[in-house]
Amino acid sequence: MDEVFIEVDCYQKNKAGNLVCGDSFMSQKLQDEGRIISVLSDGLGSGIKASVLSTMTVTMAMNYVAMNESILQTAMSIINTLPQDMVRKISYSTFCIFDIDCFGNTKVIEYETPPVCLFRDGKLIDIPKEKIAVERTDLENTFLWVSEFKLEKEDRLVCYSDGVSQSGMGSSSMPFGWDEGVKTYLTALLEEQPDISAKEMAHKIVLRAERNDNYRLLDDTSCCVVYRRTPRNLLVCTGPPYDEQKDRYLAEKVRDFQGKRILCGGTTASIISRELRRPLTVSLEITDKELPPLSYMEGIDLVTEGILTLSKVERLLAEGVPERSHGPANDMVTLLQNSDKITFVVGTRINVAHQDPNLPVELEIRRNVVKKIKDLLETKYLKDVEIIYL
Amino acid sequence: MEKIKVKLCAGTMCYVMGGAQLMEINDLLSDEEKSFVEISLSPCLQRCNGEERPPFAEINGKPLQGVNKETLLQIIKEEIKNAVR
Repeated sequence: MDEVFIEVDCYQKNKAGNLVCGDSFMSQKLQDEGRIISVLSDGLGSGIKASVLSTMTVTMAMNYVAMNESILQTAMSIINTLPQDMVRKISYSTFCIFDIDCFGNTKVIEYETPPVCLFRDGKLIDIPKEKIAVERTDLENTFLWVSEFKLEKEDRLVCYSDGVSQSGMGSSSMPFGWDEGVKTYLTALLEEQPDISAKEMAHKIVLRAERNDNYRLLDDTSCCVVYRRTPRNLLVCTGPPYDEQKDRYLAEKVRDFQGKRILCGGTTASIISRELRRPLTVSLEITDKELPPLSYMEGIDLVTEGILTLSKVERLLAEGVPERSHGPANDMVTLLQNSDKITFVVGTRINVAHQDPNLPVELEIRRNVVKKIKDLLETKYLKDVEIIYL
Repeated sequence: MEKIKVKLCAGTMCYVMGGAQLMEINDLLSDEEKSFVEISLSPCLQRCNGEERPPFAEINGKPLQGVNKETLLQIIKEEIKNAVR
C-alpha cells in the first residue's frame, strides 16, 4: 500500500470589494505519469483584467509544462501572448509552477513571485536556484528562478502571491509588509501543529494576511501549499450489496478499515448495525431542511441518508460550499476534503421504489452519482479515489 | 404511565413522500401532549417495496401507512385519550 500522498491545496481571497480574483490557481494530476503540476499566477492590477491575465498564464503554463516544453520557451510564449495593459503599456503577470512526480522529484519555476518556502522538520530550508534572464521589450531585469530537488516525506512547499508578502505594508507593526514575518509565522505554526494539513495551512496564511490588512485585503491574496504526507484514508459505504451473502463481508470491511468511515444510507447502516451488533440511532435534529437527519453508530465517523445526501454532496463539490451552510452533506464534504485516499464501496442492489415515476423528486441512480463524485474529487481536489462495487 | 412510542421512518422513500413534513409533528403537539409522547426516528422500515403507501410510522408498535401531520396528530390524540382512560 502506498505510504505517501501529495496533498495540494490553494486558498484565495479577493481584494476587498472586488468580485473577481486577479490571482489564478490551477492544479492537475497527470494520472498515467503520477505527476502533479500546480500553477499560481498574479495578474497585473486587480479585478477582471488581472483575472484574464492570470487565467491565461496558468492555462498556458499548465499545458506547456505538461508537454515538457522548455522553461524559457514557456515564459516567452506567455509574455508574448498576454494582452498589453492600456494604461501601463505592459503585459504582465507572475507565475510559480510546481512540477512534482510520484517519487517526490520536484521542479519549481518562479517568475516575479515572492520566493517559495520549503519547510523540512519544522525549519525553512534554503533552495539552490538557477537564474535565467528573460529578455522583454517592455520591462527590464526580469528573471526565471529554477530549482530541482527531492520533496521528502513530511516536507511542505509554500508559494503565495504578493497579497500575502505585502500584507500589512505601511502599518506601524509591519511597515515593510509580511515578507519575513510570514516565514516566522509558519515556523511557529509548524511547531504548534506539526501535522497541519496543506488545506488548513493555506487557509491560515491567507486569513492572517487579511488580518494584517485590518480585515480589508489591499490586494488579491492567494496561497498554495504542497505537503508530502502519510495519506488520510476514508471509506464510504453506500448501498446494500447486490447479494445478501455479501452483507457480512461488507461489515468486516468497515470494521477492519484503517482510517475514517462513512455510511451513506439507512439500509446500508442497518446492515452494518446488524452484522457488527452495534446499535444505530437516528437523530431527531434536522440540520439541513433538504435532507433527512444524521444517525449515530459507535466507531463510524458519519452516518447519513443515501441518495439525497449523495446528490447534494456532488452539488457542493462542484459548486462550492456556501458559507454558513451546514448539514449531513456538508459534513460529508468536509470529511472528503480532509482525506487523501478515498474508497467507495457501492452496493448495487437497486431500490426499485426509487424509480417510481410518481415520486415528487427525481432520485438518481446511486452508482452514477458516486462516479460523478469520484471525478470531481480527482480532478478538482486531486484526491486518489477508488470505487468497489458489491 | 408509560409514554406512547411514536416511530417515524427516516428512509429516503418515506422522506420524499411526506416523511419530511411528518418529522415536524412535534410542533403540532401541545406541551401537555408532548409529555405523553416519545417520538423517535427509525432507519428505513423496509416497507416501501410492497403494496403499502409511504410514509410509514408506528405507534406503540402498530404499523401506520400513508399518514400526514394532521392524521398522525389525530391518531396520537386518540391514543392519549385511550391511555388516560
